[in-house]
Amino acid sequence: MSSSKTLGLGSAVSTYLANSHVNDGKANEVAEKISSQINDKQAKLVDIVLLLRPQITSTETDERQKAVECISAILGHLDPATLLKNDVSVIIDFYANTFEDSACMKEILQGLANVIDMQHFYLSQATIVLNRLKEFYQPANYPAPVRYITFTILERVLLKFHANFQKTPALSDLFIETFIGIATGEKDPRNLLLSFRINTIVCSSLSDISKYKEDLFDVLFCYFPITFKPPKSDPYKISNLDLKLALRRAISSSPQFEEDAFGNLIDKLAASSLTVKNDTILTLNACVENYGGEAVVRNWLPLWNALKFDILQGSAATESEGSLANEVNNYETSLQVVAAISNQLIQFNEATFDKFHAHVFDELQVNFEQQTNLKQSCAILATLAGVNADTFNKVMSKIPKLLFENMSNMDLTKEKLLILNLSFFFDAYIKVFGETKAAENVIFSNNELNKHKDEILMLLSKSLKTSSNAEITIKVLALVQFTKLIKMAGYLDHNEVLLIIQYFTETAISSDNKNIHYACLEGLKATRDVYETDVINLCIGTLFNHLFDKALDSGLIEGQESVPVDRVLRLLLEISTSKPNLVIRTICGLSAKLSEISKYENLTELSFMIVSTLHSLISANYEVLGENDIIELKKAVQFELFTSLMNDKPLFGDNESLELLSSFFYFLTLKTPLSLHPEELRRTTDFFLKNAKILDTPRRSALCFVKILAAIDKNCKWESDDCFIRTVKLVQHKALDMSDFEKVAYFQLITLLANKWCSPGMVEESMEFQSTSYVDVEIQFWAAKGLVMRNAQETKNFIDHFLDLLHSQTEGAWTARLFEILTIDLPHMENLKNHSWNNNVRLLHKQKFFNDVAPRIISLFQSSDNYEIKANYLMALSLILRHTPDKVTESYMPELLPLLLQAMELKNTAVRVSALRTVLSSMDRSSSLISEHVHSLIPILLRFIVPSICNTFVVRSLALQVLQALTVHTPLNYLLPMKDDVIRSLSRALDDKKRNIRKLAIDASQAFYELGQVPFE
Amino acid sequence: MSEFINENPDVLEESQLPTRSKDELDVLFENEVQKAGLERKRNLLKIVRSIPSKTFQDVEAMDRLMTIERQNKQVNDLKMKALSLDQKHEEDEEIDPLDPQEIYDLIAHISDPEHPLSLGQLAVVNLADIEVHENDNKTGISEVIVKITPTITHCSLATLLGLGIRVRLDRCLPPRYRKTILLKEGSHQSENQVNKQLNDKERVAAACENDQLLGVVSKMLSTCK
Repeated sequence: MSSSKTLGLGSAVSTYLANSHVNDGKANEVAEKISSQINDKQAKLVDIVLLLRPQITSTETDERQKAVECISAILGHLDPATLLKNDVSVIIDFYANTFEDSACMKEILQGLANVIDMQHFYLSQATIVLNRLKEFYQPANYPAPVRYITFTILERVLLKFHANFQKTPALSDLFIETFIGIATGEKDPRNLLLSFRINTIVCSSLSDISKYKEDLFDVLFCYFPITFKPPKSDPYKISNLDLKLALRRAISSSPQFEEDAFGNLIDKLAASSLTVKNDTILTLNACVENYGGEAVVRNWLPLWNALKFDILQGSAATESEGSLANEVNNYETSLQVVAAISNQLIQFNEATFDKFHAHVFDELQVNFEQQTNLKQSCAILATLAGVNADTFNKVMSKIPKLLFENMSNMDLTKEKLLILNLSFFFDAYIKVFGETKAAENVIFSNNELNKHKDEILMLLSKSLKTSSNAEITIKVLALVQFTKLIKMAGYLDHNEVLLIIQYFTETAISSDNKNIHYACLEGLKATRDVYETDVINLCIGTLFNHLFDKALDSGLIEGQESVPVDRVLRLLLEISTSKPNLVIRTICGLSAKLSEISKYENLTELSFMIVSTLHSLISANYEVLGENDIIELKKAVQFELFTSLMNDKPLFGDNESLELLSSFFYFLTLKTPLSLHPEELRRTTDFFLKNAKILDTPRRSALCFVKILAAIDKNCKWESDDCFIRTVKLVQHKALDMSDFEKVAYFQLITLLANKWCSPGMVEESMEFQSTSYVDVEIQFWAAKGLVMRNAQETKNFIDHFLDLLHSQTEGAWTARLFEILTIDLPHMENLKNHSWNNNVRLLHKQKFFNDVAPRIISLFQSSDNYEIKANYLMALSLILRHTPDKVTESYMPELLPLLLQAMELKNTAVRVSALRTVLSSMDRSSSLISEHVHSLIPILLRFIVPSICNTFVVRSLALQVLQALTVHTPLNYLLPMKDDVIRSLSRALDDKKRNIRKLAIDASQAFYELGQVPFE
Repeated sequence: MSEFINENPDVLEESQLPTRSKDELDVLFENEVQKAGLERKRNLLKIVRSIPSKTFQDVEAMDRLMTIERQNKQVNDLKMKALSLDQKHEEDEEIDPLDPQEIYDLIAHISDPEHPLSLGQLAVVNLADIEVHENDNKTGISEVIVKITPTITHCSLATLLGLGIRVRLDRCLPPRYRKTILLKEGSHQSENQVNKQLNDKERVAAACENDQLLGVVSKMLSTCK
């Protein structure tokens, strides 16, 4: 039994030896198998060693290597509990004896590394291993992967016998000595990472390292500042940052390094490279944070002296450019170190902080007197203040005196400076005391900044109120600081908040400057997050008062202070955004106002402006409004607004107002709880069909009906067939009496019904396909639109019919134009998030439609030989493209492009625009395709830049953009021959009537001038 | 030379250069909005501020539907071929005249060959020193005069600056403009020679034949906006 085992084992070992260095995967597999046998007690490790004896003692290096490797590999797969005490000791002895065989060093080390994890590997054996490593191992003689194993051994030993090392100094000394020997001179990044990590553990957890602290530090600091550029195919994915961080952690790991670290790092601060400096400062920061207060007490003076230079000198430059994300900002980082120092000191001992503070203050005080480096000085002091409430009060007890000293005779520049400098301390306040969360009336009175509240408020309000309107900067500054005051928790009392709200509101109303406007708005937004009621009462109230005063008597603009109505409306809109309570309040106020003024026909324009504000309010905020909000809103405004809309001419008779207000009801209905929808549907149909009788005679209010219907749950039961058929009949018979507006409204009703309630079959049956009268075809298109949007099968018959019509000499031309209807987006049939129940619009319907229709049109175009008919196809295709996303059209470009080029020859603006737009947007994706056509494209484009009836502003501008894009996407050899021609022709556009066109022409011709030019530098 | 005109100029921030107060409603044109109801949309934009807002899109969509309807009716009524009928209201575009600001925008962003700053920032070109004399007869000659102020009176690069500006203007203005580039009176020791050199067509043309020089000029122009 056992002999057969041995036999099996023997062949396994031979297999291993045969595969090793040839097929390592296979060898590893065999090793794993053998290990599992040993784990199952079916074999013994000793047997294997015996089996391998001839190889182990062989004079052939290769054989010895393979044999040792075999044992090491088996060990690697063994269960930690398998080997008994005896086995381990035998193995260790085995390795210890072969240790001098440097040719097998890699295999030996690997084996040792594996043994350490065994359960019965004891401290005494670790000592043997360490001693061997210390005495016989020369790192410089071996390649990086071998050295890596030694580091692994050290790490494993350290983790396993950590506790013993702490107890026995002799052992820990042995370990450290071994480690220093191994780590010295290491260069490989992967090994360094490990070396730093071991160093960190040694320093931070072994008790007595003072003997070796210099050596340990040297083994770290000789790498500082570390830079490493990973090779392209780095298997270990080590980045420069990994190394930097590991090194930083190691250096800052033990206060024992204090003497060496601070001195050396401060020396490195003199480096000229910004990145090196940044690394140094960050490491200093880590040291300050980790070494503890005592170390900082001894070192703050040299640290401060080294850092202050950077802070006081370097800031201006780095601040203006340093906002880029990747750039290092040594100013900010240096300030961080100052903050860390202050923090350590105050934690350690208040007196030492006082000393530090006094020193810093004395040095900086001069700057206040001479007005130099004020900003930096304030930043430093604010950093000190921002540590905690104690430091804040200590610092603030001295600052205001300096700042407010000669407040009485200040010019504007000084005032600006003062406000800017104050802002540092406001930030520090927020850092210490936090941001205002709720409108609680707690005042943190025991802080030094509070004592100067009056002065601050006076200064800011003076800057805001008394400086002339041209002084934008100072006003904006004041507004920003007011915002900060609001954010400072426990600083302002309620009356002061009210005062500031008033300031914001008045300034916003009276100024037409953009920056001031946004500053006020930011302020009000910050305020409303906390003091919502106050903002509603005070700010919204004031704004309404302005609206009420002005509007009725004076119409639009003029009032005693001439505040434009649009400004007030815009403010209302922007302040309310995303706050349900404010939105509701504003909508209620505005709709009350609207029903008041919409009686007057001379106020149509004003009505329109209010309507558009109402629409914006609800369309921008419908997602934040909850069901209860909507119910409240409906109760408050629905009846009133609806009555005005149906009766008042300025609303009812005005296309835009009617559209927007109907749309307002669309959103209102959309957000109504679903359970109320059947009732809504009944009420709506009753009103429009029975009272208003919109299906008997054409009415403008049909649009409102469409919008409300569009919002209602499609699952509500409604026998809509009758309505559909009557609508079709009405349009058929009364088309001539209808205005365009009414017609469009009824058409949209047809689309909506075909999409939502009617069965596609019924829709198809009620069409009169044999009629080619314009109205009938138009109805068919609109009905088809509803079906296209729901991806109904019946669509195909409609499309067949339309394509037939395109082929006709008589009807083709106008049919082509109707194709736009099929893809144009209707605002009330959009797919809104979380509202899938209001229509049957499929997400990918345009894609499906395009995939169905475009290939057919293309092939029809190619097979037709009549130029006029071809033009029809082109027209239809361009109009479809106009509303189809680029992604969908992408794959058709090879077939489309030649067509587009022909389409551009048509004398029609819409076609040209959509063709140009398609080309422009596919430029980077299909550049090679476009390059092939560049010879026909460029002459066309050059014709398009000449103004004419068809070459409108948009055509010219698109043509120029395409020309410029060609220089980027088309190979030089295509363009160079045409360069001179293009530049010459572009001079025509340089003289265009419109400035924007001239600008585009300039950019395009510059791009052509530079074609093929030798790059400078 | 008692006093240099533009010695140690206060370097202006990019944002401090004079700019055309941008008409926010230009976007209307850029977005191919129908001219009908333009006034309406102006008012609307004053309130909602952005083209992508739902409100604006809603009005746009309605407008487009009405346009389709109107066009189609016309086509149908007249039984005409697919001809251009939707352009009527876009024919009469307003004219934006060429003004000093436009010239300034062309040249203010040229970078100085020896600083990382632009000519506008160094106040080498100033809005006040640009004149445009428009000839109403488009076939006649109009004139643009630019006076530059070198930063020091013996600035050896004055000719290079002038050349850069000249190349930029030659490329960007239609040929009917005569471009005259002069040093501002009293701003340079050899004012006359430089002026002569800058406005000598032959010498400018010769300079542009020189690839190396053209490279330098291209680099100066590369910062133009």
